[in-house]
Amino acid sequence: MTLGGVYALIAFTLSVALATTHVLNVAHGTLMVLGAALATLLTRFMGLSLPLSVLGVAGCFALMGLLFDAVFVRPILHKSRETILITSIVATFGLALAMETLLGFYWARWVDPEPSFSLSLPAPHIEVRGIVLSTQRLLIFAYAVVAIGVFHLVLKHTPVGKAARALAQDYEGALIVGVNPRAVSRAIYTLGVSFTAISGAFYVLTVPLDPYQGIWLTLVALIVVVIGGVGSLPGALLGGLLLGMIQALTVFFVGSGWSPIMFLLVLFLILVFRPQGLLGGRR
Amino acid sequence: MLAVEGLSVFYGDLPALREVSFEVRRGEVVALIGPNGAGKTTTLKVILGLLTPRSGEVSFERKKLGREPSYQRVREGIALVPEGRRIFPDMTVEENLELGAYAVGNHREQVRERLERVYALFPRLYERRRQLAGTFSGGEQQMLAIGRALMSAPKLLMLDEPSLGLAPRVIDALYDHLQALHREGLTILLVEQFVYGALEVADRGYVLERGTIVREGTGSDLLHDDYIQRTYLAL
Ligand SMILES: Nc1ncnc2c1ncn2[C@@H]1O[C@H](COP(=O)(O)OP(=O)(O)O)[C@@H](O)[C@H]1O
Ligand SMILES: [Mg+2]
Repeated sequence: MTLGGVYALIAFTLSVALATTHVLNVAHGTLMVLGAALATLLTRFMGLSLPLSVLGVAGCFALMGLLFDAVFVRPILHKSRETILITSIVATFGLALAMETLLGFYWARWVDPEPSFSLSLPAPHIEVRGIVLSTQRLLIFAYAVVAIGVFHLVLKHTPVGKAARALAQDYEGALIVGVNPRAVSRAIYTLGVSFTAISGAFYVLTVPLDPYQGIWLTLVALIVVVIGGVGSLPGALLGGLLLGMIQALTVFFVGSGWSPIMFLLVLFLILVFRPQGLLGGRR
Repeated sequence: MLAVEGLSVFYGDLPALREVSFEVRRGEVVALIGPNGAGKTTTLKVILGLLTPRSGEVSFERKKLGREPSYQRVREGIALVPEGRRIFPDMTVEENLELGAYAVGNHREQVRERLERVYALFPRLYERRRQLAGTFSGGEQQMLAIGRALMSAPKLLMLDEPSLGLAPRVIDALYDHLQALHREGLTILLVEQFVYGALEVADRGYVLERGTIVREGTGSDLLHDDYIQRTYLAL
């Protein structure tokens, strides 16, 4: 079940950004890998505690988010939905490739010739009434629920969140009531990229990552988003849980090599029978 | 209050407006009428800063607006009820209205007060304040769009074909509301193809055809103008 938390965590910032700005960030998974890399660097090689390095990751990637917004989002924000989607896919695909190449090369050269990013907790298991639970996975699940909760509250109840939803529902309508789209996208990407990188750090509590897994992560995130419905955060949670279950069952009954195929099968079924996603709205 | 001078707008190479000039004085209702494709919507978009003109100037309260962004113009007191209403379908009525006050600050008390005024004007919106706006009929959506525009407490309210797609009875109610707002001192720029109704409530009017202003005058002068009667009122 906790695998579901991992998948939810992979997907939710992608979902928010896609729904509010129509930017499909292919570099999403690569930003997670970078977050994991920075967290690994700070804990394993510089000896910082886990909470401190998570804070460090949050800060660095908030800045990264500002930069990402200025370079990849702002110039195309006023274009039509389709143009934004296509331009952003091409541009961020290039960014993803560039980032993973640089990361792989310089990490191997300066830090460790065999790059692998992972974090560990002091106590990997706890026992509750005779049942042994994995601390990492509990922590990840708790983080996913809290982070998604935070995003949900921000979008639902703060002015900038409401403005973001307005832009997603009717871009020109939002301009007419006086929303400044640049300010909104800046907020979304500062928060979003920061959370994406933290998610990467939490992810490698369970499974290590190497520099070249970013695009695979983006693909998994997209599947979760499609299952749950674009822009629906409860949907991201549900889609994540579902994918986690599917993977667990696949591994148990047929073998782990089959899970990508099962994922694509589920993606296909959802696209055919419920294209708006399980919890997606109309449209 | 509003002065538009020598406005020319192009979509690519195609001209939409050519040297358009007109003005709206404080407290007036001014009608801008003309056939489909004349450039009425384009004019309103330029005034709100959604489109940049190739040449010409929009001034509001004696200040040239230049390339000021829309959110700044909303803050200074211009509001638009757009063509097609453009309400937010997956939000409740109340969320839509609150967003109308988005640009002008979000002091809870003030927003409350304005909500009450809009609800007093349109009791139907109050009854349905928790409903999703996307489930509304055309007339209700139009009320919501007007209510949303009023939430910024504008000095100038611009409406783009508010009667489009409404039943005659609903149009009457809508125009009663507009006249009530006018009596309270609101300045209104009314774009319509419903020429008779618009000229009846308007102090002055302009006729726009193929991107240029071809007639202007007081509401009643235009109503009795031969050309207008032949072309727009089919008398
Ligand atoms: N986004 C656009 N791109 C290209 N041409 C447009 C666009 N919007 C309007 N036009 C053209 O500009 C002219 C004026 O349009 P518009 O201002 O919408 O007229 P009206 O509101 O009076 O019906 C029309 O010929 C229309 O085809
Ligand atoms: Mg029009």
